[in-house]
Amino acid sequence: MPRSKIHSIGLIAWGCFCLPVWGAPVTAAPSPVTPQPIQVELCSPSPDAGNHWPWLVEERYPEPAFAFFRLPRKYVPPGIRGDRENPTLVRAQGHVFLPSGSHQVLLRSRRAARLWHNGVVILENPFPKPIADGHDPVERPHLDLGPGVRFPAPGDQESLATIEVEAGSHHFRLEFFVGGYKGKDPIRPELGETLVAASLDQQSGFHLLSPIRTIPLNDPDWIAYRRERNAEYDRWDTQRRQTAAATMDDYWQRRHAFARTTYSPDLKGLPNPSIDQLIQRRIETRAQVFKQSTATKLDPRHAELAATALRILESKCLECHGPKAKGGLRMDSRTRLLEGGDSAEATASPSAIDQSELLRRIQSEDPDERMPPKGDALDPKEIQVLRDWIRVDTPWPVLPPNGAVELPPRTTDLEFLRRVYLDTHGLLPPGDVIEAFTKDPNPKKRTELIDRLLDAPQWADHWVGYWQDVLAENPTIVNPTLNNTGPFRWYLYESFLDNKPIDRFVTELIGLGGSLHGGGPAGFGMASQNDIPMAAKANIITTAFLGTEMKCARCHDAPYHEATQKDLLSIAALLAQEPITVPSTSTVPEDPSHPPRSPRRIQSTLKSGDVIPPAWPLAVGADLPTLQKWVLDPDNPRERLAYHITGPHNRRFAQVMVNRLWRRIMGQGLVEPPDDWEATEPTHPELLGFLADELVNHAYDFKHVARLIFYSDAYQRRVSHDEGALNDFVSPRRKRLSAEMIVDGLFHAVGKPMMTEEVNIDVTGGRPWRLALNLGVPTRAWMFGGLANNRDRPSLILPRVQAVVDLLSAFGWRASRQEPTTDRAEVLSPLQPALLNNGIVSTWLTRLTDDHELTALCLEDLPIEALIHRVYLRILTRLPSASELDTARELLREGFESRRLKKSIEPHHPTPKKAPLFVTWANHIRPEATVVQLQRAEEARRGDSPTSSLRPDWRHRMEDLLWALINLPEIVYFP
Amino acid sequence: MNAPSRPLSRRTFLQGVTASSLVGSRLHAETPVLPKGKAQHCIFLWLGGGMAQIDTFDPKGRGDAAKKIPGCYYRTIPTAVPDVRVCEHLRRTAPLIDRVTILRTVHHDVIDEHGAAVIRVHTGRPTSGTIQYPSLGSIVAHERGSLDSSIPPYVVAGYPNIARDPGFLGPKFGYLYTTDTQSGPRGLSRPPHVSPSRQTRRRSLLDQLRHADPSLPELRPYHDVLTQSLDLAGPEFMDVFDLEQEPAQVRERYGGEFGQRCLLSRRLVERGVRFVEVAHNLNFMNGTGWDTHFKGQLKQHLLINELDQALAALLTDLEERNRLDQTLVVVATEFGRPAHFDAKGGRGHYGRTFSMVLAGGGLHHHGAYGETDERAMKIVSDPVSIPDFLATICACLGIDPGKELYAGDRPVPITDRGRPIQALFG
Repeated sequence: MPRSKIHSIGLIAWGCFCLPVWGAPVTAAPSPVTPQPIQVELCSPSPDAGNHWPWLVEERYPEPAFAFFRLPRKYVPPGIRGDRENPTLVRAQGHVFLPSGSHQVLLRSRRAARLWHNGVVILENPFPKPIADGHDPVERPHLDLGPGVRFPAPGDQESLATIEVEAGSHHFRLEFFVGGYKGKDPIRPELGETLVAASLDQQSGFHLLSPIRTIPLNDPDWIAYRRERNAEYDRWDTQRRQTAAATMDDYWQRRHAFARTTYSPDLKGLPNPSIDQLIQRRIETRAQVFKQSTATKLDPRHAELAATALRILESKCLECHGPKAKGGLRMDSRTRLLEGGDSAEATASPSAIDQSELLRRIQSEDPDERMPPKGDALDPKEIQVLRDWIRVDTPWPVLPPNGAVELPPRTTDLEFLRRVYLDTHGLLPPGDVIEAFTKDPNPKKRTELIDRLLDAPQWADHWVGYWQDVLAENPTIVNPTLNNTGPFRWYLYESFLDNKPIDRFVTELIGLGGSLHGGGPAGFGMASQNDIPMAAKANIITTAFLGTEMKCARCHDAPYHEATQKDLLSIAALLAQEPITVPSTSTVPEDPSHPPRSPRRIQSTLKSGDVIPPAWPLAVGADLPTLQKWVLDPDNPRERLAYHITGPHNRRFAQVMVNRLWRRIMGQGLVEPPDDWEATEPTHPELLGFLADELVNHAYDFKHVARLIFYSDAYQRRVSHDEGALNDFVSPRRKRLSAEMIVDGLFHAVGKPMMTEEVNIDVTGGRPWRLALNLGVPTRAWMFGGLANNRDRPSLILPRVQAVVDLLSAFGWRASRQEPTTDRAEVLSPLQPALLNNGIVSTWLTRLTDDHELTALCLEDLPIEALIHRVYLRILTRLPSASELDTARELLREGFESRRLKKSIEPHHPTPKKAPLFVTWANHIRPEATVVQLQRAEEARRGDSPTSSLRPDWRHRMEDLLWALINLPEIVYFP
Repeated sequence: MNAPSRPLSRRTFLQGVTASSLVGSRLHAETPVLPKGKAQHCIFLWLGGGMAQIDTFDPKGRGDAAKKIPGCYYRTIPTAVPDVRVCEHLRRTAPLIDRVTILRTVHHDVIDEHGAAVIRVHTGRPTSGTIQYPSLGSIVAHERGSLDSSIPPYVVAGYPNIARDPGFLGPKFGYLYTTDTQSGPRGLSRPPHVSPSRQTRRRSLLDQLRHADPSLPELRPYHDVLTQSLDLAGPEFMDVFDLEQEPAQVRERYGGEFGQRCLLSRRLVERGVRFVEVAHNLNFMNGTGWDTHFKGQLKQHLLINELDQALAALLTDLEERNRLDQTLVVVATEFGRPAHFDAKGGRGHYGRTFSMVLAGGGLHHHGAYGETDERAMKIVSDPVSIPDFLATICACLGIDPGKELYAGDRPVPITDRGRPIQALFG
């Protein structure tokens, strides 16, 4: 039985504390025969302490070492993130073999921690003092543990003891707190880098204390260990999530079986309809119509006039006077145009054109009268065209002049690869995949690739950004005031990772359960400083899932929609699970002394103080018996609401969802706009119906419908240049890459890790959780968030995050998603190419550093042409043309043979001599904090040091080629 | 196949409302005649944190932080306008107060959180869950463009943040920004490791490659903005940012980094930029910047001195160059601070009345407008709401503050019923 003695206790911690030495030596517990991992228990405070032990063990799991930076996540039914008890006590114990001698033991922890050795407390870190809001010191003392030892993480405290032991197995027990409070506010449940390490005989350097592993406490080994453990935790979390979700699987299986019985597929006269057949049939039908209409013999000059007139109407009028029918006026057919709108006057007549309302409005000088109300007025030429066209009484041109629709050819393998990677993963295809795919003779390789891509986790990444916009996910890292939400991005991500049926995804979202700040649907229910948060959510829900736009009804009855404020508030009351009283701030004030400039076009049926009970106000709703049968808890208003929306009776839901999917892939919806169906009709109802059937009959599997689209010829064709053919969906439209695709795509294509700061300005975790979220270190663009540095404090900048956010924002990503949107502004501005020309991210992407994958490529032994080919394939997914190859070869030829200074990259991990200073909320008001952050900003701007493996002069030219390629316009467009 | 069902189809569309209300509101034609100024540019100096009016532009009787006696932290001095006094650290600006109107009765009710208040002052609106309102700078960019269409209309010398964003007007009306006067504007200034000759090589390479093959017609617009960005990054525009081109005595006159940003703003305006926002965020001077809680108060005078030197230099310089009448200079902040001191001798937040400053811009200046009580905490006369403040700036720049912009199909007046201060449009 080994015996040990606490010889001395060195102590240098932040908090001044002194530990009494309890008696020694101590007999250790009996040791196991073979080394066992450490056993970890997660304990929550007992509500009934006194009748029970004060801590209840929630769960147990093994760990290889006394090293903690993450706990297994807690998932609650129906498979969503929950919160652990605050605080949670972590108890970890195990037997470690120690040789005899005098050993140093190091304890680090974020919050209070105690370490027992053979039953005796040898180290204790205290409960940290509450942080000062900005005034804590920037300089922090830390122990001198010798060269190469990893420094404590920001906010962690450390203490050191020396123990004298006999050889043998020694029992160690560590207890520490996760979470806690600032005042009465819970703080974030973070661990920092809580660990126990030992230096044997005080000579060998520190290693993590472990019964089964040898892990030196230095930066590279810690990083590697952390990566390994993260992978394991990810697996555990997936299991836990699936276990929690499995409690509901049976219900959803029954419900989906029921859904299948509610629709018998309408075969539309086709034995086995497919997307391509339905598209073909529409083209044929239209050709027939055309044949009939050309029988009337159109004067070719008039046909041209009509075509020009249509273009003018399309660009200037139809946005409002198409299906939206503003003011009751539609201008998308000649008859409707001439009939006029609500004002009951005819808009125009061929015989008295110059007296027409149409000409008067388009020529008006009065900004309140002039049409179109925004943008440029019509120029005289355009006015003349409209005048002539109305006068000559020509039919509307509905088809291309020859009536034929030309099908574009199938994409090449390379075009297909780039397109399908962007559409499934939001990334560019990796170099090795490109080479293997193009060489693969398998005729089924496209469908097999589609299947592989759909099964990969990146499918989930690709959808998070979309739903963040549509559902207005808007977390902030500091003081939520701007209609902020919780970070339910994690709910979105995991739902798509698990390919949750889309009706289930929506049902759970509307349930608003789980963790508010930690990524559950509860975060969707939050709207900071909003006078009726649930009204904001009701609008988001109806817009997202029913295509029913209700934003105007937030404060008054909608002028261009049927929704009343009462409709919206009834749904809001369902979400709130209680009646809602109309606050004065959600009404439109009447102010006779100060009338609005333009005619008052709005009215309200509700007054401040009216009370609106929960009710489902829309026509599509489930009947009571069905509702009672299929809603698990009919007394729960949120469940009723979710069923009204997602139940199989509601065909509109399935249609809206497949239309969103179709549109995101093909670039044009079957219904436009996708979020406002009120005054619009599907251009291809058969196809919409078919896709909706497929969704419902395949258990609301979004991926199934996506697969049908990706498999289709329509998807796999080259982009058509014929507007008419595009409206027939013979191919996708030419799409621009989203902001996320540009960032993720370029980082992945060149193979440079993103490596920004954590999206968090309370690095040490002392602020209340509700005021300070930690969005983590992003690995994909959707993980970023706005910096909310509205207070203009240089010490609160995160320069690397800012650099990526700048690029994302320029391309239309929103740092603050205060309202839902489906379509981002896709305008072009010189700032977009500018940031790719000279921005900080551009520096990172084009500098050949040791961790840049193109550096490794340049070190390979290969001919110059092969190098150029491979770079082109990686960045542009195509080979260079002859002239491009010449240009690149000319650039790189000089010094190519002698470019390599080393055979390979020699990794070096310089350990800083001093712990780097860090700025956090607790110290950001200190003048030194600004100095430190400005230094970080300068480092971000300079980027990482270039590799020493390549000769600088040649490397510069290679970097210049890379720079030119990422700046080519084709980078920002789909093939 | 059915057409998609219409959840709302049980009602018909708003019968009668449009026509009847249209007639009604036309009768309200009693709005006073809108003043329209002739200013061409706006330089918007932003004091992040909340400037204490009682320690700067609306000083009252002396207080004592140690004894917790409310009042001004400094002595006061007379100005060029009789009866208008400012704090002693504004001695360079004091003689110029006849070119200035201190608005002493600006007010709003958002004082618990800086972020929200900054947005309130920049957009004039509370946050809504249905729309993101544009900042003043974006509105001016939208309404007036730049004097030279090849350059950006809106530039920020400071950090990007939501309050400065274009909101529903879209990224086209966003800003170019530079965090300081050394590193140059983000996206246009050459990265530190790229020499001028290398930059030239890069561009010629890019031009060669991007014109190597006939490209798709859909790419044309991006080619155009790429060309524009390359031109902007060229010396013709970038020289504006090179303050070395100014005589040493001019640079000295403007003072430290904030002054240099003001000098930059003058150069930008001369080049045709319409709206420049300059952030005074040199927080290391006193730790807290203008958010002078606790010990931030102790060295507040350093901030005031820096503001004073830069503001006086800017006004004088603009005047000497005959540009003051065309250039509205605004000193703005998110809220004010109370006359009393907090536990550690600093000041908390206060919004019931505080000071903003307008200068130049061809306005009819009064030295000060609006009166507050003996502690500069209550409005005695002539309140100025945030919409009124923004409406005054708009009107000065020839923009109708009641004009409706469009957020999609929703009409949104530029200000929320803001009325320009008539007395400034003499």
